Order: sequence, then C-alpha cells, then structure tokens
Amino acid sequence: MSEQPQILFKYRNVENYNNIDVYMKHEGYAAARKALQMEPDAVIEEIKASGLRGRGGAGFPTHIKWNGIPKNWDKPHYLVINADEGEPGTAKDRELMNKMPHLLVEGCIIAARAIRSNRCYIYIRGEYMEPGQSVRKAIQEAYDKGFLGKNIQGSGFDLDIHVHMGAGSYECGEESALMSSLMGERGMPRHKPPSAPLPVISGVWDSPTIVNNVETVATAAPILNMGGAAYGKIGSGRSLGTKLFTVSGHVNKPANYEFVLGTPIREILETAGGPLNGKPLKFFIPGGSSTPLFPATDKFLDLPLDYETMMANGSMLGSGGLMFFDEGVSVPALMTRLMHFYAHESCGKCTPCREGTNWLTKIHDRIMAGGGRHEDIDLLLDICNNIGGRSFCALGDAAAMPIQGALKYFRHEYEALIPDRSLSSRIYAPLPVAAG
Amino acid sequence: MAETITQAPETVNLTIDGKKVTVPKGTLLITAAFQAGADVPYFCHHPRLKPAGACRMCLVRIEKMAKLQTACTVPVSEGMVVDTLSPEVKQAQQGILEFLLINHPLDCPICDRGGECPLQNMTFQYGPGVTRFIDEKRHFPKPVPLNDYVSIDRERCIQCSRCTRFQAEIAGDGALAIESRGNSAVIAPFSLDGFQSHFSGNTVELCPVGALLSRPYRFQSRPWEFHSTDSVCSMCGVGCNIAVQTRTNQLMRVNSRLNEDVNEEWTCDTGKFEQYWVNSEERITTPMIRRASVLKPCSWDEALTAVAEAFSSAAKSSSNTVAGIGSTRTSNEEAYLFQRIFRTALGSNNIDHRMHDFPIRPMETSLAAIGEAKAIVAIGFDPKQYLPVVWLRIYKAISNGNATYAHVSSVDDPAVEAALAVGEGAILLTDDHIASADLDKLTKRAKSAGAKINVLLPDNNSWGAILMGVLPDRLPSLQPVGNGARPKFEALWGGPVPDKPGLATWDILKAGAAGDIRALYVLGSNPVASFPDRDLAASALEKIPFVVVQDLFLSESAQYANVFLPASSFIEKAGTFTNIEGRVQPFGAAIRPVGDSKPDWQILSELYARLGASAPFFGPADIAREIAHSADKNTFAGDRR
Amino acid sequence: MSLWDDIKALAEEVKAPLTGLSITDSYSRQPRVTIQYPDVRRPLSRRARWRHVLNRYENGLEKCIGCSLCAGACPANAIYVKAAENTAENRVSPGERYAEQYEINMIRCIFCGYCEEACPTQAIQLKDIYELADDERKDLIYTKEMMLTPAPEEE
Repeated sequence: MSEQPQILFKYRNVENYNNIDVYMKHEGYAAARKALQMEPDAVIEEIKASGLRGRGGAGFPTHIKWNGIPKNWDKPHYLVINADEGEPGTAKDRELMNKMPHLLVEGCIIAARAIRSNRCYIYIRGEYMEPGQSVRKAIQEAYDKGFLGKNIQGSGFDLDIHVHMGAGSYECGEESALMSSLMGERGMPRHKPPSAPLPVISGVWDSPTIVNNVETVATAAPILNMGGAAYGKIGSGRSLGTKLFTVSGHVNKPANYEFVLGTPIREILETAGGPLNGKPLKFFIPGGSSTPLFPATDKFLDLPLDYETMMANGSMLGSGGLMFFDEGVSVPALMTRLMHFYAHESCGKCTPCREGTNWLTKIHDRIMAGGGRHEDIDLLLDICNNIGGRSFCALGDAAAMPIQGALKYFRHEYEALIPDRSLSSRIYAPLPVAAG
Repeated sequence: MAETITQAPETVNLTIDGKKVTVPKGTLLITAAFQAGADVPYFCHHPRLKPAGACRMCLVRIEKMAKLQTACTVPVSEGMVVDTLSPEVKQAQQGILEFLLINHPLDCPICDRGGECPLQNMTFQYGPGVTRFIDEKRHFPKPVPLNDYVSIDRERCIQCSRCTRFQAEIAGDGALAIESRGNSAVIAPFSLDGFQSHFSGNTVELCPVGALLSRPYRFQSRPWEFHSTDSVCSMCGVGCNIAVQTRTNQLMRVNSRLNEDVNEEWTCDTGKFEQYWVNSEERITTPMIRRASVLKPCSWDEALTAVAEAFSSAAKSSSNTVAGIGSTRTSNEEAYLFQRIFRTALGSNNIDHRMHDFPIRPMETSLAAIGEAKAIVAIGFDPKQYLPVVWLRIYKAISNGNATYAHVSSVDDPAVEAALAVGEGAILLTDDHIASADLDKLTKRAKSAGAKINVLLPDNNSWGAILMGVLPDRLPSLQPVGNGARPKFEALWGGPVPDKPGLATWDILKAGAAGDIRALYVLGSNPVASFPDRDLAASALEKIPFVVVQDLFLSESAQYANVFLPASSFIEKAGTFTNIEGRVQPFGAAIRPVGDSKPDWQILSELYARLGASAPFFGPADIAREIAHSADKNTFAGDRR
Repeated sequence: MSLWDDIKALAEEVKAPLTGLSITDSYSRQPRVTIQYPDVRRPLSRRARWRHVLNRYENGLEKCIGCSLCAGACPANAIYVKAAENTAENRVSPGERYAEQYEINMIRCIFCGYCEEACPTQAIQLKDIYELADDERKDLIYTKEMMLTPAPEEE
C-alpha cells in the first residue's frame, strides 16, 4: 500500500482546526496572503500548473474556467461556491466545512482574487445546518482578522462572502439551477450553450460568474502553499492531485479519505477496513449514486480511480462517493430506492426527467411488488435511453445511468423477480427504435 | 472560452434538412426551421415568450453537437447544419410524446380542448400508436376553479410553463406559478386569493392541452361545431380583434385574433368573458309601445309609425323641440345615419352622445408606439382597469425597453416631470376625465419637452361617434356646422342642414326638464344611469312627452319610454368601429338578430323612410359607402390613421 | 257438329280453368312468404340498423357523455348534442360531462351507423326499431327521452 500524501486533510486531526488562530498556526492564510500579492493571472497560472480539475463531478479543468472570465469587463464578477452537496453517498464537503471551514474561506479569497471578483456566495445545502454555522463562524473570524472586507491586508482588494442556505433540493446542486435559486428564482436549471452563453459570460444577474465546488476551491490554498508544479507531480496523466472520497456502505471503517487520483479501488477498500465483517462484496458504485455501478470483481477492483479510467469503463468519478455493497443487497431494491429519490428530486421542468423518473419508479415498484412483466426490463432500458441526453440538465441522465449500469451487470436479478406467469405482453408493443 | 467580440454579420446562413436558409442573426432555430419548411413539433415554444426548452419536443440534430438540441432555444449560427427528419430525431419525438402521455388522461371526448388541442394533433402526427404504460396515472382533484373565468384540470397539464411565462413576461403580474416539483408540480395561482389577473383568459388560448379552461365555455360546444366570425371587441376603446364563435344562434366563446398593431394576439378578460350578455334571456326582442301607462308588445310598423309621427309633428312646430342622444357603442354607420336623420329629416342639430364634456383630441401616437416608449405616465386613471390591453403595451415598454412607468392622480405629480425630462419617447396617457385646463397646461409642457399626450376614450366607438358627427356643433369629420363644409353635406344629403349648433346632452336634459323638448330619441345610451346628474336626467325623461328608447335591455331610461325599439347586439350585425387611435375596423354578423330585434341601422333606415327619405339604406355597406364619400381620408381610411 | 263434339268442347272449356286452378292450388300448398304484419313480425338480422337507442350502465347512469363525436361523425348532420356538467346532486353519467339535450332528426338520418362507430362509450346503438313513420315533421326529431333505455328504477 503506497503512502498517500494528505493535502486537504493534512491537519485533519489538529484540535480546533476550525478556529482561525489554530488554523493560522498551521500555514493558515499564508496562501491567501501570497495570492493577494500576486497578479490575478499569475494565480491562474499556478492553478494551471497544478492541473486541478473540478471536484464536483464533471471534472472540468479549473484554470480554463477561471480564465474564461472576461478581462476588463465593467460588470461585476461573482464567485459562487457550490456547497449543495446532495449526491447520495457523498459527504466530503460536509467534513471540509465542518472541520476546516477556513480552508474554504481561504480558497474563496484566492479564487476571487484570480477572477477579480469582489463578491462571493457560498450556497450551502439546506440540510447542512451545522456546516452552515461553521462556515458562517469562520467568515466572521476572517472578517475580524482582516482577511475579508475592504482592502484585505492592505492589498487594495475587496471581498465579501455571503452564505446562502438552500431550501432542500438536490436539483440546486446543478450549477445553473443553483444560480436560479441563489437569485431567488425557482430552483430550475437555466439555458446552457448552445442556447445561452456560459455562466462565465452571463451567470447570476447576467454577470460573469464562476461556480466551483467546495473541494475545488479549498484545494487552491494548499496548491499555492506547495506550488502548482509540486501539486501537479502527484497523480498521473490528466488526473492530478488528490481527491476526497467518501467511502460508505459495507466496509469496516466508512469515512472520508484523501487519496491520490488513480489509486486502485482495492487500496481504498483496504484503507477503509475492507468488507464489513469480511462478507464478500457484490458490487460498488464509484462516484455517488448517479454513476453506474461496477460488480466487485477483481477486474473492477483493480481499476485506478480517476476521471479517465472510470469514463472508459462506462462509469464516472463523479463526486467521489464510493459505496460498497455486500451480497445481502438486492440490486433492483437499491435501484427502486434510488428511483424514488430521483423522481422526488426532479424539478419538473422538462418532460423526460419529470415523467421518465416517475415511470421508472412505478415500474420498479411494480416489479418489487411481484407485478413485473418480462418486457418491463427492456422497457426500463428504453425509458433510460429516452431520458438520456434529452433532458434539460444532467439530473435526467443521473437517474437513467444507474439503471443502465444495473441492467448491464445484474439483469438476472431483475429477471428473478418477475413471476413466471407475468401479465400478457400482448397489450404492449415496443417503440420502433431507430437504427444508428 | 473567452468571447471574442467580432463584427457580427446581420444575417446567418444555415442548412436545414439539406435546404439552405438565410435568417437574421439571433433567430431561434425553430423559427428558421419553419422558414425552411421543416415541421418541428413543439409545445412550450411561443414566439412572444422567452424560450423555455421545457417540453423537449423540438429536439433536432445539429451537426458537430454531442446531443440532440431543442430547436426552440438554440439561436442560429453561421454554417449550422440541422437535421429534423432523421430516424433518431423521430424516435426522440416519439419518446417525448410517450412521456407526455403517460400521465395525460385520455378524456379527449369530454375535454373542451379536444379537436383543437396541440397535444392531440402532435400525438396523431408524431406519437406512438400504443402505450406501454400500464401503471396508475397521476391524480388530482379536477377541475379546480382559479377565478371566475378560468379553471384548471391539473391531470392534463404537461408543465410547458406557457401560462406562467405569459403572466410574468407579457401580463407582468406573475399571477400563475408552479407549485411543488417533479411529477407533483402543479400550476397554481401565486396569490392566495386566486388567479388575480386582467388577462387570465389568454392562458386558456395558450395552453397546449386542456388544462386551463374557460369556465363560461365549459361543455358549451366542441370546436368543430361552432362558426367563427371575425369581429371587433365591443367592451372598450382599444378595439381588440376577436373571433366570435357561435352555435345555435348563441355566442359560445370569444377568442383573440391576430392584429400586430392593436392587440397582437391578446385580449383582456372583459373582452373574452364578459360579452355573454348577448345571450341574455332578459333581452327585449319585440317592439313595445306604451298604452295606458304600460309598455305593451306591438308590431314594428306600429312602433315606427308612432315614432315617425311624434317626431315629425314635433319638428314641424319647431325643430328645437326634438333631440337625440346617441351612443358610443353603435357602429360608425349607425352613428352616421342617426345624425343624418336629425339634421335632414328633422332639421335639428340637437344631437349628442357625450355624458360629460371632455376635450376632443386624437391620440398623438399609435398604440404600438406605447410599447416602444421610454417613459410612460398614466394620469388620473389605471390603464390596467380601464383599457387593459393598453397595459400590455405599457408592460412591453417596461420589460423590453426598460421604460419607466408611473400611474399618478394629478398632472402636478413629480413623476410627470420626470417623464417629461426624458423628452422624446415619453408618452403621457390620460382619459376623458382630465380637466381641459390641466390638459392645456400639460400640452404646453409636453410640446416643449417633445413628449406625446394620448387622451384615451373609454368606449368601443367613442371616437367613431365623434367622427361621425354625433355632436351638436360638428358634422362628420369634425367639420363645424357653421362653416364651409355644410354645403357639401347639404348636396350629399339632398336638403338643408341647420347652421346653428344644437344642444349638448346636458342642455337637452335641462331643456327637457324645463318642458322645451317634445320628442327625444335615446339611441343605445342610458342617460338616467350614466349621466352624472341622474335626477336631472330622470326628471327630463319624465317631462318629455314622447321618449323613444332603442336598446337591447329595458334600461333605467327605458322606464320612461313611450316606444321601445329592440336593437340587435354587435354580433348580430355587420359594421365598423373606430378605436381610440382612430383605426376603423370592420366586424361581421355572426348570428341572426335575436327574436324580432333589428340592427340599429335597419331601425333607423326604416324610420328614415317613414320620415320621407328619398331612398332607404339597405345595408351597412350602403351607409359606409356614403361615409367614405363624405368624410375626409383621415376619418374613415379603413386602416391606419 | 255432333253432340259428342259439343261435349268435347264443353270438356275443353271446363278443363282450361281447372288447369289454371290446379296451378293456383299447387301454389297454395307451398309455404307462404307473406306475413300478417303487424300481427306477425319478421325477425331481423342481429346487425339491423334502425332507430337509435341510448344505453345506460347497469347502475342506471347514462352511457352518453355528451361528447358530440356522433354529431361530428354524422354525414347527414342529423344529430344535435348540448352538454352539461354533472354535479353531486344531479349525476346523470359517470365523469364530468353528460348530454343535457340529445336530438336526432330522423328525416335526415341515413342509418349509416357512423354515430355508433364514433361513440367512445358505446352509448348510442342502432337497434331493430324500424317503425318510424309519422305524419308530423317535428315529431320526427327524436329527443333524448325518446331514445333512452328506461332506467332500472323506472321499470
């Protein structure tokens, strides 16, 4: 087992690390001071050297996003932190905000400096009362120490951070719906390219906006401390640096762990104490509930956990919510629970997601209740195909993908649930699926 | 990523289904596709609303893009290659329709939208023939009334958000909103008091399914059963173009009709829902004559002969003893004929239609120009209440052009000053209750600032009654009775026209109360109820020995009538109305006159024959021809002023 | 001419009508094709399309929902439907809508059965009631009350 460099979790076990005085004793706000003395573009250069990619799920290179902000534009720029961590199986941002909120505040100062923004909003998931209080306290401490407000540390740079608590919607973790919600509108996604400009051109209040995940921004501080190039040496290929993973499910030590991107899944599993009670694992979900599952075979357990490998094998790194399930778990039952979640969280704006998730839920409920028909399995796949790529935002895809994965590897479990004498298939004729 | 600002070309060339089209920059792909002759199905798209991309029905394949894209949200770009016909697109359309239909009840036979329903049409054209959905559909209580006019059937709703977007973007009140989320999302009024809007009826026409429904029209008719007639709304001076839909000689529904210069495609709720009085059981449909102090039904001949005798004998003694009070609701033809009868057959200028004195002044801008103003002030009235569709223009200026808007009670309000400071592009709106001193003051200030003033008259043909000469001192086309235009009319009408101004309404009523009027003709108006001094009006009508009232209903004034002549409503006759901006708009006869009633022009024409006209008029077109001869182009031009 | 000749001639004359009568007699022994209408009525085909009947459900509610599809399908434009809304106090049919007035002009009707085809609830059926003659035009406009099958409680 290789030694894992701890970057975000370096001082995880320091007592009262959420206190600004303790934090400042451990390299705290050194990176912010450094950033304030640098030119904004130099900060972005440093991030570019580190190869940092968005930790929220999509994995978009951070420096490209930050560079996208129009220079010398007289409109205000906004930095929005996506702390609406709603993905089932993910709790990394919660620990970050709870235990090391100053890492986030410092990251905000660096990011705001880089994109020349004087206003930052932290959109925290409504259920995260405790992290919300923790971040608020940290912001207040930062104001008191002169790291926020007007003319920070005599640099001439102003920054105000506002905390906005969500109202309990998974959809508001989608960056454009988050912006709608932040502006007081209904939490529904907004137009994206090619229908509308990117948020870096026209985001909240039609102004250039950067939306970043908590972890992405928090990583900016250690990157400046250790230097972008040094950070970029960790990991391999295009998946550089370390990432927080929430390991949960049937493992002995479920917790948040920091691993270098590309660490084999088996190593993560072992770090987390191995399978619960030594019971054999059946399958695992690599990146939060929206990503397709993998069977817990040697082939998949030996895969390195990074953006590219997951993509190549038909799943995604997602938000880093690694969930292990042992043999006692029924895949259709898990999918039924997941579909209830997605149907409940669909915002209702677009047809495929609103109706599709609801339909998937109803079919799952019926199969679980013993009313399944043999054609229901193909119907599930067909519905997933009709949702995938056609919904307004990614929530529709997020609901369809787990089923596609489940049916790929565990179709027999569905079939086992269908009674031999199922309802007649005569009342249903499949849609003609177009060739190509 | 960084946007480079280049000099953009004005037009964009793209290929849709192998066909090259050139469209202005910024056009939405769906519009360009229609221009190329491609048929892209849609529900949530509406050219006057902002793109939503909600229904996902208009998915098309754009080359070099990973996913199918919604044509209603993507602006065209140079060199775009679009495919709307591939099997992939067709399959996507089928898939979306299948999704839309899983929760849509199959109650088309009893749905008021059935037969004119976009979802029904799209399903026939693009949908799967059979359903694969065997589970329980979504259920809601239905139908739920939202206000007096509109109810909602939430099971049928497909969440296209056309209604909520209309209320927010066009009506400007945001009266409808989406409540809850996902599959339990429902359209609900934003306010706890229900759907508070003057424009709620438009959502019924916008709704692509039978979710939002008209309550008065509920179960009245199927769309293939009624007959639709082009007409003009009779409820206010805007003159919205409407389609009057009738069945079994009754009004079933009023829908809006497109006219970009007047109402675009909207109507207010009054126009759409408050015209069912034409079906009223209380309408009088036989002529009545007073015998032994009671109005008794009689024949038309009896009634008209009595009227003709009373008026000609009164006029013979002195033409000052006859008088006529016209209306702002009769058509141009009828107003014209009314004043012609008084001026030629009875030799009297005692004819008026006003209930109070107000400045006669055409609008200085068109209605459409209000939508492009930079600053708007409504003085002394609330356009939303009074001329609702004018408010839509005002809101257009507010939302599109960031115009300032204020609604104030006095000309001295600072908001007026602020608007005048804008100068060119400022429009001041006022109604007929403004004092002429105030208006003069305002005119002077507006003129120096370059702002425009529009005096908006309330009724559907207020401006027509003025231009047709239903005034004691003006002939048609606002020609004074005393000046050189009179000989022209004398030649046209074949008789002398009195050259002294006659009595205005208030003078007629004063003279009547003093016993100086012997015969009074009340055409379509109701002075006892609408004249400010009601007691004077009542005592005048009491005192005048012979009063004839021509109306649809037994009004307060009709209580004093010696003869009551039942007239037909505007949907039972053809004619023209002139709206507040002076636009002459024709309307057609949708149904036959109810009972024995007759259109006003016909009653007047028959009376004219009994008073000695050389040749009667046989139809409104006859009269319109004469008006066109006599009037100058500015008053009866047919379209724009 | 002998007497014999006379007898033969007479016999010939007698034979001719007898021959004729024997044909009549032979036909009279064949089965009869006419019936004693109206005392006797011929059975009709099960699919005979004559006068319309408006059906009810077993619980007495009318099947007709007043949708007017029959009127829309009618090539002779013979059907008039005026719909109204069911209320809790006055429930005529299941669902929201029922036919307040339902009239068929039997002079216009061509008994094509399209109305039956169009009906989504199988409320209207062309049955074997064929005695439709009348001497008053307005009596040939059949109302809903005339065509409706009797309600169970009215029986």
